[in-house]
Amino acid sequence: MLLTDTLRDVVVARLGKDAGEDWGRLVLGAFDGQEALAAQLAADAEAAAAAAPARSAKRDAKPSAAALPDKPAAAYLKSITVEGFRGIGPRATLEIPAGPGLTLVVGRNGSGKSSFSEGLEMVLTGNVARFDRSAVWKQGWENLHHKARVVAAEFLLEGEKAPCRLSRAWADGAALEAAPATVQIPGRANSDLGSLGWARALESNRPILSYSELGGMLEEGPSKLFDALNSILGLDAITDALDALKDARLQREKQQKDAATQRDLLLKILEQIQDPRAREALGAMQQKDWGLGALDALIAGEPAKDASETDMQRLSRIATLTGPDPVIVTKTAADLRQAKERLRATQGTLAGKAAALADILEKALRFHDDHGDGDCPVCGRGKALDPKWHGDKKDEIAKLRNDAKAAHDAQGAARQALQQARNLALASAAPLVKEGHALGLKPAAAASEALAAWQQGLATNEDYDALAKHLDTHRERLTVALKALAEEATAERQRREDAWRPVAAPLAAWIPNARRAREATAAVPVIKKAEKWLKDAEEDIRNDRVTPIADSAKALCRELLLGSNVTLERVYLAGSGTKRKVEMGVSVDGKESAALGVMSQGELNSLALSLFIPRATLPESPFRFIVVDDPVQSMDPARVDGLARVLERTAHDRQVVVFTHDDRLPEAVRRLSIPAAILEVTRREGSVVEVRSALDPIGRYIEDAIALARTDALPREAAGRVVPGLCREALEVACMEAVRRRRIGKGQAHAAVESLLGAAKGLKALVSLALYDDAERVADIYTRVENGFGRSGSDILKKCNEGAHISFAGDIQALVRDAEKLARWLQKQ
Amino acid sequence: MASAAQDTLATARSLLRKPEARTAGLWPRAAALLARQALEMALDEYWKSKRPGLELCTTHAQLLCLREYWEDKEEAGRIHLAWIALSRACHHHPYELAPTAEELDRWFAVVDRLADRSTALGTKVPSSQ
Repeated sequence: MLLTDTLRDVVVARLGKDAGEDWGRLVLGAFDGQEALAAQLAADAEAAAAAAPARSAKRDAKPSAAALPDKPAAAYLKSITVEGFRGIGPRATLEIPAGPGLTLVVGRNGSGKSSFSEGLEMVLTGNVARFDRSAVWKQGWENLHHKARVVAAEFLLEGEKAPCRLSRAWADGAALEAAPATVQIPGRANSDLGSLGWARALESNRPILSYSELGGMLEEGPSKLFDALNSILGLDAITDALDALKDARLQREKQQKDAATQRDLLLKILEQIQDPRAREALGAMQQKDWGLGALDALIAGEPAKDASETDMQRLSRIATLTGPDPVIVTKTAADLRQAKERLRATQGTLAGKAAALADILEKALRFHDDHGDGDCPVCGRGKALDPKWHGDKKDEIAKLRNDAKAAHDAQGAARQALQQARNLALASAAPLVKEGHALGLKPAAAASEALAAWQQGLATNEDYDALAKHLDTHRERLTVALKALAEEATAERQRREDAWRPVAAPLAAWIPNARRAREATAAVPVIKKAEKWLKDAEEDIRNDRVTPIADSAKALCRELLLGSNVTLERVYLAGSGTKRKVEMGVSVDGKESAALGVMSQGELNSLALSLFIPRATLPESPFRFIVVDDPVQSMDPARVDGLARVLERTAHDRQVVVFTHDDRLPEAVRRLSIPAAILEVTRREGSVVEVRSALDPIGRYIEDAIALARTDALPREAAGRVVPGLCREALEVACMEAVRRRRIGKGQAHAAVESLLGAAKGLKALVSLALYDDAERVADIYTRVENGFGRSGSDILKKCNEGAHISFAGDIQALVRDAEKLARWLQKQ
Repeated sequence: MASAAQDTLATARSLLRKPEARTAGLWPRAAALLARQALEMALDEYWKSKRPGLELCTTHAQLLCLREYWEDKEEAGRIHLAWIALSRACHHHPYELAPTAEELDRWFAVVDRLADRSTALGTKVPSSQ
């Protein structure tokens, strides 16, 4: 494990290939927050639904990369503005170089310096930890010399051109806590603190080190210390993840329980309803899977799986039953009677015989026409064929033809009337009546009888009169019976609907709940598995995480406690719940000692700072700055050089802002040649606070050089060696500043720039880097310096560079003045 | 044989180690004063062997020069810091507390290293007289 690993990386490493398992993904989701966990669960449910027929089918869903929350942007501190708050009256702004590096803010006690750090704490957290300790602080936060009350801080956010301003302003007389935070980013609508996504980091990577409080915490017992370290080390996230999993599970279990309770209630209602649908629903809901599919069909009014039609559909059809059309029946009866009459009228005149006779007679007439008068060719009666016979027979043929047609027509009409009667049999009504019977409709029996009688009469009555009579006499009865059945069907339908509707609505409402609950519950065993794994692994994860931080803390502690007989050996977070404790091993003169009691307050504070810095600079923190308020005050001042080194190292890739009340730390920074910006805070009467930049590193070297150049007692030869050396350092610092500003300005990593500068050996290489951005162009630097700075430039450069080897014999004071000018020019390259 | 600087530092140490009724309450500042003297004496000794004449300058100037002559710039810075801190501790600043034994011990260690180095230098390169 590396310090640069996030807690999530630690968990991923510990999960190993289990990270791809469904429960492993949940563990990771839980570390990404509740929303990410919810998204992961939803995605899994969808995948499960898609893969439902073949659950075991491989799912190569990636660990919840998509569900990762947006990482808040990395932030550097640009300025702190305070007005009418604590020791600051009229608006005062502390501008801080916004990038990696060390800034010291120096001011005497009461200069208003702490009001800036407290202002920053206030604007970020809405409170000041120190104020919580006593009511006196809470009441005295308003500055008496100024009315308006505002605290604000500007941050440079990665990926944002313009700075983001975070401010809190108080209305007149408002309480300390009553100032809401406003976030302003130019070109965007104002928003609240939540939009920056810093809430979690403010908890677990608190960038403001009020570590004197932690120093106290170290003495408050193993579980308090555990909590402090736990939160310091950002391990709350484990507890948070466990909580997220537990919440997800409880929420699901509650969903299931609620749905089950509703189900029981619905079952009770359904039991009391006679409607077959209610019985069907009851049966479905008593299934292990609550028969939700069947319920869907029931609610939608669709037939059950093995039926073509629902009862309701059947009833609807039965309700359409009507008797035969009375007009048609009456007409049919009349037709039948008429047919009978016509048949009777044509009785005896057999249509066929009349027609055949007419044919013969026509042939005889044609014979007579062809052959003239004569004897009958059939019976031989003499002279039977004559014109009179011809006329008589012609008449007879006409009559015969007439008779034949009447008989034929009467038969046709009779057939038609009969057919018409048979058509009234209402064949389609029979199955409906039968269904009515099956559905238990009482009038079905009568209807069935009436229909049977009607159909029987139609089928069996041969006689037209009888048939007509049957139609007349039975139509009424049949119509009444069918109408009764239809009405009963309608009524039954209504009754069922009335009974069903009140339960259908809650049932319909319950189904989606139940379905969601069932889907949700499906994930519960997986969540349980994730919970169990995380619980079991909690201590290991914690210490996987602690190890690199503890290693870093041990190294810092070694540096801070250099020369002390006390060494921090190990930090271990053991147990959980009420048994949680921190095992912090320190050794005294090489002998292990579990107690922190062997450490002095100063050492405890050093230890606290050693733990604080790795925590505040964890890679997952969006804060690229740390603010330490007066570390020298509560630390052993003899260790100020160690502190300065620790701060220097931290400032390599972080912006380190240190507030300090005296000049010990600035002095150490100066004597140890640590690059740092130093700001001085002074306070005039009426809480007027001013900030001015103290000597920068170039100025500090030049100041020392001038002091030496003016020391009369200094041997000339020594001065000629030492003063150019200091000037050379001033030039080197100037070059480094130019390179840093340019490269970091282009977005290059601070560490890379530092290693580049470290690799550039000697002044010429640094000048080459400053002028050409290339350490290899040493040969060209003199020309460039002469062209840009002036002809004297290369001479100054040479004199400063040679001082270390050949004592400088010229005008030393002039050299210092020239070197300063050259340094200021180089600084701007 | 111990140098004068080492002797002075030993006296300063004894103030720390052996509580005496007469020095009660006074010892921290007294020890600081002695340690500062020891530092200046060691510096003096160092210059006499390394670069005669420099010992005549102000201590601040000497310490600035030390950066250039001492091979370990950081240690030179630490000596400078120790001198500043000891000077501060010598004076009775209002409201500023006297240094603790532990702090003094740390500064003593720095003076010790300087004194050792000066003595070693003095024996290695005998003076011209």
